[in-house]
Amino acid sequence: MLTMSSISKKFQGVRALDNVTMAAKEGRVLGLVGINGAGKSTLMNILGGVFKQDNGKIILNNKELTFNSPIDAYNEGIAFIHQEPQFFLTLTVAENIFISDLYMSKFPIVTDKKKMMQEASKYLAVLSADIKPQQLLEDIAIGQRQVIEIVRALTSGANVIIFDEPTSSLSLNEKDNLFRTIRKLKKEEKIIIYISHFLDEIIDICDDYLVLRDGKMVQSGLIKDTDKSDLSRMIIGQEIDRLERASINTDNKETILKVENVYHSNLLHGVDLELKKSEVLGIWGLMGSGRTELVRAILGLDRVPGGKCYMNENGQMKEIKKAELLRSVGYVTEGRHFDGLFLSMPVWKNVTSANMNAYKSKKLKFMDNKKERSKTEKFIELLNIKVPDANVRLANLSGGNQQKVIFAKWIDKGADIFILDEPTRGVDVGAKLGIHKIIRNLASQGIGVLLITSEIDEMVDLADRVLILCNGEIVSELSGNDINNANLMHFALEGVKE
Amino acid sequence: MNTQSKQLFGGITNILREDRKIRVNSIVGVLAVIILAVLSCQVKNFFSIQNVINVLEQVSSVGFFSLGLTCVLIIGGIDLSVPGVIMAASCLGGSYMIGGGNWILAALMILSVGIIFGFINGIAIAKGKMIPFIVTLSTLVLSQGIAAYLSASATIYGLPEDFFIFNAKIGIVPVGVIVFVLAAILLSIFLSRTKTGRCFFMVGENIETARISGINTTKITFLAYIISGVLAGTGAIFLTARLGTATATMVGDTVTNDTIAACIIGGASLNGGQGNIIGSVLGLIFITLIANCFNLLGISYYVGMAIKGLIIMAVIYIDVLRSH
Repeated sequence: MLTMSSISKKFQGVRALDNVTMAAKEGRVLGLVGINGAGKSTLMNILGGVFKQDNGKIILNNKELTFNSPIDAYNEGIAFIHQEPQFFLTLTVAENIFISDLYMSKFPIVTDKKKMMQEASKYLAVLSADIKPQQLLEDIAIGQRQVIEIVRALTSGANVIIFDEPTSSLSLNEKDNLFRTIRKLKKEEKIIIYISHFLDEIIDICDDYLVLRDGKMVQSGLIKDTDKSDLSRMIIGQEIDRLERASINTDNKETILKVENVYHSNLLHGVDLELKKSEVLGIWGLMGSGRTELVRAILGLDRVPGGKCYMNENGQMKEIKKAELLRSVGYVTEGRHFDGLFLSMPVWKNVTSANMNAYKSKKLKFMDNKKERSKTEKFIELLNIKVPDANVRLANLSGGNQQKVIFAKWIDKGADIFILDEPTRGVDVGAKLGIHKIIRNLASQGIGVLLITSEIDEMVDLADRVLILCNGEIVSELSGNDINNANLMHFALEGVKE
Repeated sequence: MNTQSKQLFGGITNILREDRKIRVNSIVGVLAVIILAVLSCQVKNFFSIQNVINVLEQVSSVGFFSLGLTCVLIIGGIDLSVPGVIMAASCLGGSYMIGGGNWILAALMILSVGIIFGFINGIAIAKGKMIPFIVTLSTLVLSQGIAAYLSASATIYGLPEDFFIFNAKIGIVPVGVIVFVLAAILLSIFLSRTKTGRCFFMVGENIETARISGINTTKITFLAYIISGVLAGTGAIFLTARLGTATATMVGDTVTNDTIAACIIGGASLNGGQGNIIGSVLGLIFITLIANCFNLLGISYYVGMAIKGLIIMAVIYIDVLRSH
C-alpha cells in the first residue's frame, strides 16, 4: 500500500499542490487525471524524488520514506515509464534492460552476456512480449519499446510503477498489448499509477481514480462507480460541451485540391483524394497506415516519385508542383516542437512567420514590428489564447495555447486549405474544445480542411467525410451518419487483421 | 490551477528565464569592464590616440570576419574556412599585382576568391546537406593549400603604390575602419529589420518549422555563407594593404577562435537562432583589448595565448549558462 498523505508544494509562492492525499493499493491500477497544470506531474515528481514536498508524508508498506533524489526513489522500488523512453539503439534488448546494473563475468571488466540474455528472456516471458533479448533496440518498433522499459523496472525490483501518458505514441494494436501487460503486472501484485488524458483508457484499465484540479483533490473513488462524463465534469469543474455534430453534404461543393496517385516507398500505393470547399475531410487509419506520410508526400516534404497535384485557381483545376502546394496551405504538424514552433521566439514572431511579406513597410521594406504585434493581439483575443501579451516566449505557453498560435499563423497567412495532423495531441480537455471550434469556424468560412487524428471522438465530431486509409491504400469512404464510433472502430480493427 | 494563477506562474517562469539571460549578460559586461579597467591602469599609453587607432585597426581587420561569422552562427552554422580564404585571396591578388597586374582588378580578384569560397561552402551545406563544421574545415585546408601554392610559401611583397589606397587615412581614421563601421551598420539593419534577416533567426532557431512556414531554407543558408565569403574577401583587401605583404601564414591560428569567442560574448550561440552585430563588435573589441594589454604589459605571446584559451573556455560556458 502506497500512501501520499496531505502533500503540499509551493513554487515561487504559487501553490502547485494543496493538501493532496493519494492511496494506491497492490494489484490495482490508480488512474490519476486532471488537465495540464492540475498538479499530476508535480505529485508524481515528488513520488519520484525529483521535487521535495513542503508538507505531507510518503508511506510505502507502513514505512515513511524521504527522498532526496530520484535515485532514492528508484532504490525504494518506484519506477517511471515515460511517454517516449530513451534507449541505446545500437545495443541489444538485454543490455538495455540491465544497463544500470550489467552482469559481470569472472573477468571483472567483461559483461556476462549469456546470463543477461537468460534473465531478460525470463522477464520478457512474464509479460509474454514478442521480443527476443538478443535483438538490437533499433529493430524494435517504437510501440514495443515501452515493454522494455517496463521489464527494466521489473528487474530493478520495482513495486510501484508509474505510467505517464503511455499511449500517446501507440497504435490501437500496441495499446492493447500495453493494457495486457498492465493487467499482468496487476496479477504480480504491483502498485500501478496510470496518468492519461484519454478518459476511455482510464475507464478501461483503472480500478480507482483520483482527480486533481488547480493543485487540489477534487475526488477519488472506484472507477466502477463513475463514468466518462462524470470524470470530465470533475476534471474541468463543469460539464464539457462536445461540439454538436453537424455534418454537411459536400457533394455539390467545389473541389479545391485534387491529388492523384501518390506513392511513398512501401507505405503508400497510389492514393487519390479530392478536397472540397467548406468541408472537413478526415483521413482515418491506424498509426503506420501512412497518414502522415501521405501529407508529407502531397506537400513535397519527402521526395517521392509520381503523384500529381491540382489546385483550384478561379474555377479551373490547374496542375501544380507538389513543393508549391506548401506555399498555399496551412499545415499543423504532428509534432509541434519538432516542426511547428519557434520556441524561444515571442508569440508575435511565431504568428507572423508564414506571412511576413504583409508586414513589410512601404518604403524601405523593413518589418513593421508594431503592426505585427497589434495583429497578434487580435489573434490572441479571437482564438482565446491564454497569454499575458504578445511578447511572451512561446516556450512558456501550454500545449493547447501553442497549438492555437500555430492556427493563428496559418489563418494570418490566409491559407484556403488547412492540413491538420493530430491537431489536439497533448492538449487538455478545455483547450481541445476551443481548437475544435476553430476548425469548424475555418470550414464554415469556405476553407477546406484535411484532418488526421487518432481520436475517434474528434473524427466523429468534426469530419464531414472520412477516407479510410489502410496499408497505404484508400479502402473506403464514409459520410453523413455513417461516420460514427462503431464504423470507425470497425475499420481500424479490420486493418489490424490484415 | 485557475487561469489567473496559471498566467501568474507562466509569468514568473518567464521573468526567471529572461532574468537569467539578462543576468548572465550583465555579469559578462561588468566583468569585461573590470578586466579592462584593471589592465588599462597598469598600462601607460593605453588611452593614447596612437594605441586607440591601433586597436581600431586591429578590430576592423578581424572585424569583417566576425560580422560574417555572426550571420553564419545565427542560422546555426559555423565557418572555419575564413582564415584560409583570406590568405588564398591575398596571395592570388598579391602575386597578380607583383606580376604587373592592375590593382583594381587585383582587389576584385581578392573579393571574388571570398565569394567563390562562400559559394562552395554554401552549396555544400545548403544543397548538399553536409555538416558545416566538416565542410568549412575542408575548405580551410583547401584554401591554405592554394595560398601556399600561389605564394610558393614565400612572402609576396612590393605591391604597387596605388593598392595602398586601401590603407589610406581620412583625417586620422583609416579607410578600413570606416568601411567596417558602414558594413556593421548595414548588416545590423539587415538582420534586425528586414524579412530576410528575420528568416536567418528562424532557420537557426528551428529549420524544420522555418521550412513548413514557407521559408526557402536552402536559400537562406546559402546566403549566410555567401555573406561570410564576401566579408572575408573585403577583409582580405584591407588586411593585405595594411600589412603590405601577402603570405600563406599571414592570418594567425587564433583568429578563428577569437572571432567565435567575440560573437558568443556578444550574444550569439553555437546552437543558432541568437546573435547580433553590435554585440559581436563589442565582443571583438574586448578580445582585442585584452591582447593589446598583454602586448603593452610585455607578457609573452605564448603566455597571452594560453590566457586567451582560458578566456574562450569561459566564454563557451557563458553560452551554456545563457541557454539553459
